[in-house]
Amino acid sequence: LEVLGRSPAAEESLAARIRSGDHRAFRTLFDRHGLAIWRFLHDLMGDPTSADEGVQETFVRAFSTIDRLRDDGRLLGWLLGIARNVAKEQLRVRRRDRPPGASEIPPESPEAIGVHVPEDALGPERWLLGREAESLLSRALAELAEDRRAALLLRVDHGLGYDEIARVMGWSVAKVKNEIHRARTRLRELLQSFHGGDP
Amino acid sequence: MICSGERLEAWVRGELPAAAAAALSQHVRSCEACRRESEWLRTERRAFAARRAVQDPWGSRAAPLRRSVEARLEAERSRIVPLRRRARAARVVRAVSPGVLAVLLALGVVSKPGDREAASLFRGSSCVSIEVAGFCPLPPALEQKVALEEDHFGACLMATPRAPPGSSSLCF
Repeated sequence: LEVLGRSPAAEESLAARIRSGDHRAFRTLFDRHGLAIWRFLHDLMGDPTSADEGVQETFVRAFSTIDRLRDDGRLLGWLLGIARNVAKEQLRVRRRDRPPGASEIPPESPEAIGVHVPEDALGPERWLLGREAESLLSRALAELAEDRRAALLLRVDHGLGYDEIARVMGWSVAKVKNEIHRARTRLRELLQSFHGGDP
Repeated sequence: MICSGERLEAWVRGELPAAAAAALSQHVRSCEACRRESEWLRTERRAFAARRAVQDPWGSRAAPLRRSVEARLEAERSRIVPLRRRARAARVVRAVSPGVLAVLLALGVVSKPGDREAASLFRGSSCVSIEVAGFCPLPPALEQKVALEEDHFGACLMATPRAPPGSSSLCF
């Protein structure tokens, strides 16, 4: 049922109901995609409070601009695109207000964020599936350049196709592929460095 | 077979057609680089899935956030409706104002700018000649001068009858 509920046809019907002013349809949209949007914003902005604010802003904008949605079957991609713009705006404000010299995300070692790397681990593949995976992966993701991280998350975490990511990011498909490849390579290097081995 | 990260990813995600998947599977068995890459892609996929499971804080957040969004949308709606009403009222005013102006002109409650301009042209002339010129189009350059002639013109309007119909043929 969950899968059927997210099919392009179901998404199209939901978009049509929202456009006609059906408030319950908007609630359905929030319930269906709110978590994905929150997680995406949390990954882009790095803290839950900003993600909360971003979710509100994203859905308010979505409601006001639903008439501009071109492909009703791709509601999630469209929402993620709005969320990415919201995150960019909030991060720009944050950078502007930050004291000179202060870094956006303080550098932390795996130990500093409570991650224990097993001595006998052979590589990132092995311990990435351990209980510290969430912290390690989040930390490595946070180190990636903002746009590159967004593209990788859209692909790996949210399952968007390359063409849809290109629309969300405003890039060519070739650039999307290139950026995701670079993001993956960098992610592996970071995980290796957290592990203490050579990149 | 040419090693391709994109094809490997599609394979790992189960997006390749059966025949292509079988061919790639055979290739991966004999290609060390592709085997390592596909292992990484599988690990990455599982790691992100595990992270989603650990990271799910939605249960406690969803309801308050949804209420906040709905409150903001309600506020937006109440702000938008009066604006729409105001716009509708403006459209009505725009539609009826030419008619109202025509009625006021006919009743003599307001005067045409041309009437005022005539005063500067016919300073010292009889009031009848000013009245006739008031129906004629005048050059815009006279606008500023006309403003200075309000008193004289006003006196003429009070003192003389209106020009007869068809008086615009007297224009020079």
